[in-house]
Amino acid sequence: MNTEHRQSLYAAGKIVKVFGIKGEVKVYSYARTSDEYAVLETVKVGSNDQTTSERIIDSARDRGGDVYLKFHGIDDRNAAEEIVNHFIYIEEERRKPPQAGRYYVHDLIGCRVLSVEGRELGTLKDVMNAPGGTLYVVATTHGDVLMPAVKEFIADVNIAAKAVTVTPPEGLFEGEAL
Amino acid sequence: MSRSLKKGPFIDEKLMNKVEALNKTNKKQVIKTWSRSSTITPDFVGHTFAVHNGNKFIPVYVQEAMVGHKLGEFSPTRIFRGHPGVRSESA
Repeated sequence: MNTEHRQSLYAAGKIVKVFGIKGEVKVYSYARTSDEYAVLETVKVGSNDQTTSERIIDSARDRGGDVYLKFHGIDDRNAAEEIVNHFIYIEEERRKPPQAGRYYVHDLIGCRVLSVEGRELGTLKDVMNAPGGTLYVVATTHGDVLMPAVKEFIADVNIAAKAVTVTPPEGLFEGEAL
Repeated sequence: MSRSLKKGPFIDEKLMNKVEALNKTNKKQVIKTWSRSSTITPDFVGHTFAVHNGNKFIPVYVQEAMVGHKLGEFSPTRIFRGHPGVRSESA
């Protein structure tokens, strides 16, 4: 599978366990509700984005806040167990548009991090979930810097230009903390 | 068992002095601290603390909901890498 194809797939959820004896699976969905899966009709299922197979969704339902899917051709528990721990992938063009002020981590990674004066501070390397909130890992010339991803510090996010403009507190990037 | 009300919350004196100095000048600057046991007071809201976790400093932007908690609660010291003996699908 070529690189272009691999980049166009996005993980929408993970199959965590089998439910019942009729081939239904429980899905840990990253963003979608069962109704949104039903609209998709088909998804790609695989242990990674390079080895996927297209599956038709027979039914999708919510139960206790979790999503349960039944795929066409998977009609018993044994067949369903084979896809446990696999991911559900969708193509970029069918990706759900994020809400205003929210961004896909995949889109943020690789963005240039700029100060409001236009000075390049580094490159956004990763997004971490910490108990105190989300943190951006910014690769700078003097190592990785963690920055709280709060609206007070983020002036602008331009995904098309791959740039995030920030207003960090004094001492976060310069290493001059009190 | 909760801390005695007579004593009041524990806040490292030096840390409190730094916060008060920033509040007086209305300045925003990262405050480095090793005092994980300091309680977050309303004065801390809006400030960023670099809380040491034994290895590195984790920045914590203090919000209203954090008041009453300790700084250390937001700077984890351990990384969960999964249960031993559980084979990963991709391994």
